[in-house]
Amino acid sequence: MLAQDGVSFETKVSKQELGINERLRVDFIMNEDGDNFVPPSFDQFHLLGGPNQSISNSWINGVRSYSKTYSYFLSPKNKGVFTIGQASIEVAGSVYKTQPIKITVTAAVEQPKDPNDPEYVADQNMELVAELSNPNPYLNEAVSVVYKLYVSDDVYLSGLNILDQPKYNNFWSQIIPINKLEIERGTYKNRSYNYVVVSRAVLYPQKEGQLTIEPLSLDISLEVPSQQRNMFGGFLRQTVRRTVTAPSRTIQVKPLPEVGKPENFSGAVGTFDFSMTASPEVLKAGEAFQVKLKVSGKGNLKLLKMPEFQLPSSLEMYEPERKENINTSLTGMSGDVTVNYTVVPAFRGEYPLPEVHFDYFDLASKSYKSISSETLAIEVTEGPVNNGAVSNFSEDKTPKSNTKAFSGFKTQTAFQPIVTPNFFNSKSFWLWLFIPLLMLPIVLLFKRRREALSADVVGAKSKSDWKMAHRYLKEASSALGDSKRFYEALERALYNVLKSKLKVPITALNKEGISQILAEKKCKPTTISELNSLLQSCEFARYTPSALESMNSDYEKAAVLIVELSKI
Amino acid sequence: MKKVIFCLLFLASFLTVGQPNDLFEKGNAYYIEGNYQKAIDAYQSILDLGQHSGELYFNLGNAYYKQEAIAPSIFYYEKAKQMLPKDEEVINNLSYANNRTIDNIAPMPASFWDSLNDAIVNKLTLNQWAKLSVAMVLLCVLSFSFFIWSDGSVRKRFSFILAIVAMFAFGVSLTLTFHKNNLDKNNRPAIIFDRQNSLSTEPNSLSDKVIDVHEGLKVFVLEYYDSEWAKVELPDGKTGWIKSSAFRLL
Repeated sequence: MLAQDGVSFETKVSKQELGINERLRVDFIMNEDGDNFVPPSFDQFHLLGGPNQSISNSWINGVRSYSKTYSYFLSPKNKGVFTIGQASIEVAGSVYKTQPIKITVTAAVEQPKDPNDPEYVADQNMELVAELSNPNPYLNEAVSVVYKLYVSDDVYLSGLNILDQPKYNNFWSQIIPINKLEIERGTYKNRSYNYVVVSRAVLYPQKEGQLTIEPLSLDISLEVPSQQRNMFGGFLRQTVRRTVTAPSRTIQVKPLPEVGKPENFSGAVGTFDFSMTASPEVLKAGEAFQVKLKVSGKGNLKLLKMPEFQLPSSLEMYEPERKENINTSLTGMSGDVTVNYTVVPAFRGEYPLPEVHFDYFDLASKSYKSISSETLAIEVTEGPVNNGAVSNFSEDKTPKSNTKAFSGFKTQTAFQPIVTPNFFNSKSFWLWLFIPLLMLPIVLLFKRRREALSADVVGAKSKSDWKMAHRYLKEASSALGDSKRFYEALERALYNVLKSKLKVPITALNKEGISQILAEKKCKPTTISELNSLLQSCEFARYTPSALESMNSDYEKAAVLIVELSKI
Repeated sequence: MKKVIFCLLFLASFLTVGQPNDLFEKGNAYYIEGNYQKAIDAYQSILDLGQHSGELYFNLGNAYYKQEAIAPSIFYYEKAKQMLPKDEEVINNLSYANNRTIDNIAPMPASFWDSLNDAIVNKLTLNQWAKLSVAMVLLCVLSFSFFIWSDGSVRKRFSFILAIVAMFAFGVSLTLTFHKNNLDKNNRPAIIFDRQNSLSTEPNSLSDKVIDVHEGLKVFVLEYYDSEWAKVELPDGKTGWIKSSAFRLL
C-alpha cells in the first residue's frame, strides 16, 4: 500500500497458482523501516522457512532507496483456494497493512527435474517396497512382509542402515533376521533391478479390520554417476546419502467365520494334529503318571491355548509343563507344542481320563475342525481305597488302609414295596397312642369301684353268705306251709351248716356241744342263744304243728343265723 | 365263583411274569455277561413294579459304574446305603465311585448336635420311633394297671417303677419321633447329574457364581423357588442356587 506519506508495504508471492507439490515464497516488502511486524497466520500451509529478513539501502544520485523484506517459504497442505492474510507494520506511529492475496493450489504438477542432479538420479534409480504375502488374511493367519530395496544398474549401493524397524502393532510378529545382505536380480514394474532383502517378518494379525503396517526407514548411500569425467574420460561417481521410507501398507484382516465356531474356541488357526497320551497306564497309588497333550502342525502354535481337562479329585494333578519346539519361517510357525501333566493317584481304582477336544480353524478348507483324544483309562492296582465320601487328601495323608477291591453284584435280596405306608402320623398311630392312655382312667375307675365294694365288707360278704344260706334253706323254703317237713328240713340245714363250718361229725353234735364249740370260736352269745332257740322250736314243731307266720319268721331267722355262722 | 377263581389265576399268572426276583436274576445274568445296559433295564423294571431293596440299588449302582456313568452310580449307591447303612460292600463301592468325581469338597466337621442326632435319632427310622413310642405307652399303661391290681408289695413296687420308667421312655421316644420327622423333612440329599454346573448367589442365571459343581456331588436341598430353582448346601456349608433340573433327589 502506498500511503500519502510515501510509505509502501506490500505482499509479493512467487506464484499465485501452484501445484500441491510445489513451494510458495511470500515476501512482505516495505520501503521504510518499521517496527512490530505481525505476519498473517499461515495455517493453511506448512511453514518451511522464514521469516528471513533482508534490508537493502542504496543511494543513487542522492536519492535513498530503502527496502526491507520478510520472506516466508510455504508448502500447501491441501488443494483449493487459500488467502494469505494481511500483515501489519508500524512506521512512525501509524500502522500499515498489506492486501490479502488469493492463492490457488492445484493437483501435483510434474516438477521439472534436473536430470543431472545426483539426488534426483539417486531417487529415480532405487525404490523400497514392502511385499505382503496376503493382504487379506484371516485373524491369526500368518502373513509375511518382506522389504526389498530395488536398485537399478546405473547406480551402486554402497551402504545401508536401517533407521527404524517398523512397529507391527496389533500383530504378533517375529522378525526373521538376515545375516548377510545378498544382492539378487529381479524385475519390478517391468524393469530389471538388483534387489536386496532388507528386512522380513512373519505377522499374525491379532485384531480384525484394517491394520496398518508402519513404514520402514532406511538410510542408504548410493554411488551416482556425475557429469564430471576423470582424466581417463570415465564418469566420476558421486556418493549420495538418501533416506528412503517404504510406503505404509494396510492389511484387511477377516474375522473367523461364526458359522460352526466351536464353544470355547481357543483361536488356533492352521493345520494341526492333536494327541493325548498317558504313561504308564497301570501303576500303584502314590506313583506318578504323565498325561501328555501334543499339538503339532503349522499355524499360530506359540499363540494357541492348549486344551485343558479336569480330573477326579482323587487324582492329584500338578501344574503342567509346556514345551515348544517351533520353527518360524516366512510361511509361518511349524513344529509342536507339548503340555505335560504329572498326576499322582491317591487311591486304587480305575480312572477313565476325560476325552479332550482340540478345535482349530483349518485354513485349507476354511472350516472349523475338531480332534478328540482317544479314550484312556488309568488303572491303579495297589493302594488304599478312598473311604470317606469326600476325603481331603492333603489333610489325611494316611487314609484308612481299606484295600478292598471293587465288589461285584449281590445275588440275594428281599424286596419290599417302595411306598410303605407311613405309620407315623397315621390314624392308627394316634389311636395306638391314645387308646392305652384312655384305658388308664377306666382302669382307675374300675379299681375305685372295687375298693368301695370291699370297704363295705359286711354287705359284700353277706351277699354271698345270703346266697349260701338260701341254698341251704332251699328244701325248707319249698316245704313252707307243711310244718312237719319244714322244720325237719330247717333242722337239717342248720346241722349241715354247722357241720361244714365247725368241721365236726353230726353224730357228735348236741345242743350243749354246739354251744361250747361256738363259744370257743368266739361266736356272739346272742347268736348261740338264737341257734339254740331255733333248734328247740324245730324239736317242738315235730309234735305241734305251727302256723305259717311262725314258719316264715323262723325261716328268716335261720337265714340270718346261717349268715352269722358263716362269718366264723 | 368260577369267575373269582379265574380272576385269581389271572392275577397269579401276572405276578409270576413280572416277579421281582425273576427280573433280579435276569439283571444279574446280564451283568455277568457284561451287558450292563440290559441289566440296568431289568433292575429298573423292578423299581417300576414298585418294589425295591438295598441290594437292587447296589447292583444298579454297579451297572452304572461299569458304564462309567458317575452320577447315576453314586445316586443308586447312596440309595443302597440308605437301606443298608452298614453294608461294607456298598460303602466300598461308593468310595470307588466318589473317587471319580471332580469336586473335592472337604465336609464341615460335624457339630455336637449333628453327631448327637446321628448317635441317637438316626439309629431308628421314623416309623420305628413311632412304633417304639406306641410300645412304650402300652408298657406304661399295662404296668400301671398291674400296679393297681396286684396285691403283693414287691410286685406293686416293681410294676410301679416299670410304669414310671416306661412313661419316661414314652415321653423321650415321642419327642424323638417328632424330632426325627423334622430332621427327615429338612434332610433332602440330592446328587448332581449335570456334567458341569455352578451355584449362583441368586435364583437366576445372571448372578455371580459361588462355586462350580460337577456330576456326582452330593448336596442338600434347603428350599425351592419357582419350582425351577433350588437352594442347596454343599458338604462344606457353602450354599447357592442351582436349577432343580441339575440334580436328583435321593
